[in-house]
Amino acid sequence: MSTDSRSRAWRWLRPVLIAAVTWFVGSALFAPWLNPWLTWKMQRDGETIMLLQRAHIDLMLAREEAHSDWLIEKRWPKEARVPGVHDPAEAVWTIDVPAEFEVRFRYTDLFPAHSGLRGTALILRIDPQTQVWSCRPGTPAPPASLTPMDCRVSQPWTLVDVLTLVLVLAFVAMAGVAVLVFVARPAAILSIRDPQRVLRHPLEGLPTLDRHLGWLRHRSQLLLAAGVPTIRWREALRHVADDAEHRATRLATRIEARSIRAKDWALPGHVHAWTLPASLPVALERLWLYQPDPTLPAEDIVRRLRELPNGQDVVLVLSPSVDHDTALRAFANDPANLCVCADQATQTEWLLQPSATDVLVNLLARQLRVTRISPYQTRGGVTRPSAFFGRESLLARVLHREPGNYLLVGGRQLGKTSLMKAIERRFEGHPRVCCHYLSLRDHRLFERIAADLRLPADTPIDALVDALAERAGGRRLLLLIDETDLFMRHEAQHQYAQLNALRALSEEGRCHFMLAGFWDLYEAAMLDYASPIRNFGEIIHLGGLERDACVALATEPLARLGVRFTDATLPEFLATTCGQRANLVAIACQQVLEHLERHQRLVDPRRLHQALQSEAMADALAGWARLSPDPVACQIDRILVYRVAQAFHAARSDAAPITLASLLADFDTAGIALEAEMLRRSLARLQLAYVLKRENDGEHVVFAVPLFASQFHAGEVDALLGRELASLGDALRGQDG
Amino acid sequence: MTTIDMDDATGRVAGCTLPNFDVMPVSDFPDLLAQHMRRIRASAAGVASEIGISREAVNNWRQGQSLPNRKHRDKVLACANYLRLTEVETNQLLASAGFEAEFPVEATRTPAATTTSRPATPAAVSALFDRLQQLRPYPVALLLTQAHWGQPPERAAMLAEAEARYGSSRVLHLQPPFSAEPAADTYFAALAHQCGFTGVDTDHAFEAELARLLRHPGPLFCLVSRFEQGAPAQRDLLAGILRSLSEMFSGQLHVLICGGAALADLKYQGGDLSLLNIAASESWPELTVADVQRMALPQAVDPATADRALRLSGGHPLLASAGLTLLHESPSESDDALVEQLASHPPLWQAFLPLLETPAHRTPIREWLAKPRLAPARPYLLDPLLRSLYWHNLLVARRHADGLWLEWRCAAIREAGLLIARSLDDAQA
Repeated sequence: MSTDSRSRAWRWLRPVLIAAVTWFVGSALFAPWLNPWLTWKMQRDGETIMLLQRAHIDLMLAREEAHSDWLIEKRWPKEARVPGVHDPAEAVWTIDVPAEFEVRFRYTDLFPAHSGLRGTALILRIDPQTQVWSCRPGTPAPPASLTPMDCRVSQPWTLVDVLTLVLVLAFVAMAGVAVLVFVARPAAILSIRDPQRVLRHPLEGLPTLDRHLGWLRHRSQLLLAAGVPTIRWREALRHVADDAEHRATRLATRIEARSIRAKDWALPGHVHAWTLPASLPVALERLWLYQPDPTLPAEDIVRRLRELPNGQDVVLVLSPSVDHDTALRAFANDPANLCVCADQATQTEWLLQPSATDVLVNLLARQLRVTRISPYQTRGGVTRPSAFFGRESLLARVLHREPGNYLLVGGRQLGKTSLMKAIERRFEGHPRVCCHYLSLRDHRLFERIAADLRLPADTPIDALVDALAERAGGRRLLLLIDETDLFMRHEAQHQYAQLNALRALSEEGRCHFMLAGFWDLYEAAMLDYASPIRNFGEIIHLGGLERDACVALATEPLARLGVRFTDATLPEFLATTCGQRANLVAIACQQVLEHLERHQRLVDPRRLHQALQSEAMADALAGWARLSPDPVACQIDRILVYRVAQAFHAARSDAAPITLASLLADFDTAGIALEAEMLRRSLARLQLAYVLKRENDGEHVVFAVPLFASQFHAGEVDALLGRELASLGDALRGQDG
Repeated sequence: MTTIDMDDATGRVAGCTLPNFDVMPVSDFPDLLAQHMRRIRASAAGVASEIGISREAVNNWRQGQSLPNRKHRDKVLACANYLRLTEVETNQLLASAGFEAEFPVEATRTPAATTTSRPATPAAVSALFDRLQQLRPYPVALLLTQAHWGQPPERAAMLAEAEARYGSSRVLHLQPPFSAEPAADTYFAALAHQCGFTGVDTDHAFEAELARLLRHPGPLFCLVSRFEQGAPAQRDLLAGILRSLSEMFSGQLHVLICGGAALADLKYQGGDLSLLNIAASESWPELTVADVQRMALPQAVDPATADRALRLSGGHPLLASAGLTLLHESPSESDDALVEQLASHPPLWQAFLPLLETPAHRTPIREWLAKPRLAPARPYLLDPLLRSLYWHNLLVARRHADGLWLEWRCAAIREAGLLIARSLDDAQA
């Protein structure tokens, strides 16, 4: 017999047993003639039964004799007897007349002692008007179980009787509650005791729980304590009864996802394609929701899931019943697949918790490789709001003012695009400002705008702005133009023709601009005194991220995945080592995640060190060798970097720190007559690129990112520096020649 | 003193017997050249200006009046690039002129096999696509390969895998034309032709067509091989188009850009192309015994022989191929003898000679040749000379207790380097 059928039988047997026990105890106390045990016991006593039958006949005869005497004599006889019984030793009754119209029958010693009848009495009385006999127990009264039916007359209740009744009723009430507990199942009681349990009650059991809570009059109180609004509770109850389509839509709505019925899936059941919102704090854009056919055994569903072709999309499987939970969960817990199982309890949580998104994220983090959903974006402009940290003061400068022109200058991978995208996101749906992001790929700004608006390439800028204004619907226009270096380079060579048009548009208040770029933009804005861009707009220098934001970037996304640092100082150390560069912090954290073992959730110093020494980090640190289109300028840049690296490796031997003067002296020593202005520009470029920084009141030049030094091997820096100096000497002599 | 005689039409190096590389008859070169020129309607003047020789020389080649000089393998290779030849066609053209193949020969698949079921995808290809599809929000990757790997390696398997994953109508293969001309119209017209777009001759029109494809449901895969070749201005435009489409259609455009040294320079030195900045770098994995066995197909090679070829070649694809041939011809030959023969393999000489010819380079290279390991390996090597040796596929990054270090791939390569350096020293003396 299986466990299931045993428990089902017990479910029925239990109340039957309780009822039987209650009946037995109750009848023994109040209706012994109905009590099977007492009845059985009495029926086993044949002698007493036989005597009782004889006593009954004798009683009838004696009664009729007394009645006849009264009718004949017209007065009630002084004594009564059983006709025909002369030997008192054979008599079952001793009969006397206690009062007029009454006859008292007392059981003789002929009855066995154990019957309890000896000496007990019954009193029969005739009503002279109606001539109807009545019977009542005498003193002492025979046992209730042996008292004839017509002699069981009620008597006024004594105090003992009342107290006994109260006691019995209390017992019955307790028994009733006990029965209720068993019938209503422990869940209701446990939920009342701990309201949070209701959030993880199996989905399929919610209607029953709801009914029982209703019986116990605890529903509202419990929902209040659990923090579940009634409307959400009702939705959850409706969800249980809904069809697959409505279920998918309701669950998707709870996380602001879009659900579309998917076809062409061989899986038995229903599949929906979900597009997840950008606000989801993990990197997952979409998933497949699978609601299996509930009639299929769990093993069959797992087999079919295993047979799915290896895709890159996550499949979220909704367990159709508690019976399916274990097998589906075990399959989903295997990190080798991309299946996630929402068991019955999780589905309830999804519907009842204030944030269903948290439920989904926890589920994904538990059952998938964390790298699959890592929220860290290590390349390109950050597109997900949850992956963008800090820059609050810069954002406030742009967002909380009237639209104006801005020049956003900073090195590569420092977050210019991320900041512009954050600005675009914040202005989304703004009542007064319409913001538009545009990434240039060459100098042709107007053609780019035209292509974006799907207008002919030769459309004049006025018409383009008119088209943009029409699209903005009366709101003020702010155009965010990214990657403007090639544009600025071209403009510098062509008298800033396009830039003058932009300036005119902004002066007319028709459109404002934020231009983002690196060296060419910086050069035009800061170093070219003839450039019309000098007063074009406010210059925003983009450097490292704020320290707190760096720490938040290092800890918060990890925490969402259930990962944390063993030591609270590690995130601070990470921020310092990465020079507060957001992309490096993100890469380090991503590397940490990639090397975490399954179920490991702690990041120790050794693991962090490994991440900082990883190839991905080295890859991100490369790419500084050609910051300018001018090859000579690049050579000077490289020489400065090698010189600082040389000083870094010699730091232990108390080598003199690098200063502008020492750098000039180095060039002189190498026989290179370098103009101080070229060196100053080079330093400015490397500072803007966040390769070098000045410290000690701007006197000493050091690496902006301490980790940057790790890409130079002590032994090779001298050789590289020597070769670059020689090459620069040749190049400059060639120019002079 | 050993003299280097590269003028032997059979590709022999003096004093060394080179393995048989299935050299095609020399007389095929004019026909092949003419056929490939006709295919893209290239003129002799066009070819001549692209590869830096006279128009008459090209005409002489085409008419069979002369063959490329032994020193002009690079010209023939440039010609193959200009004519947009595939790896197999390039190898055939080089072989027909008496040169070594540039790319390892991929295992050919029988038509029956392609029509009935897709052959098993090499693990490296499948892993590469897995990683590409996981990149967010920009699925853009650079596949950097050292010399003598195909562009891309395992091209057929890659395209088959792409079609299996994305659907055949969602796979584009862009091979930028080899042209130094700055004209955008011919560049983008050629790309549009490869994509099957009609009436496209500007960058904007090309971008609009790609955008149209991206508006259809499902991701679009774009394989770009030899990205670094061609005019820089057009290349930058193409990069910009792919970058802005990646932005506009987040996660929809999957791009795999294949290249070698020049592509690495573009990414790590420049940083101007934000497409490359947002791209993840991927390296083609080192050869395995299974790969070597597959290279030998249709000939069956036992694992021990494949392992020996792999060890002798240090994972260099052409040396592995040559090693297989040598082992097939004389399996009982000692390792030392085989190393000596492999050290004379022409591609090694072609890689070493230009570097060692410069006296300033010879000293550091000679010092490195004496060392078991040269320098720490990094994604981008700062030393240009070391970088050049690496991209010529003479060096390999191998893991040690203190990290990844650059080493000479194999003893044959070190032998070749020492031999050439000595020869040049002697010649100068």
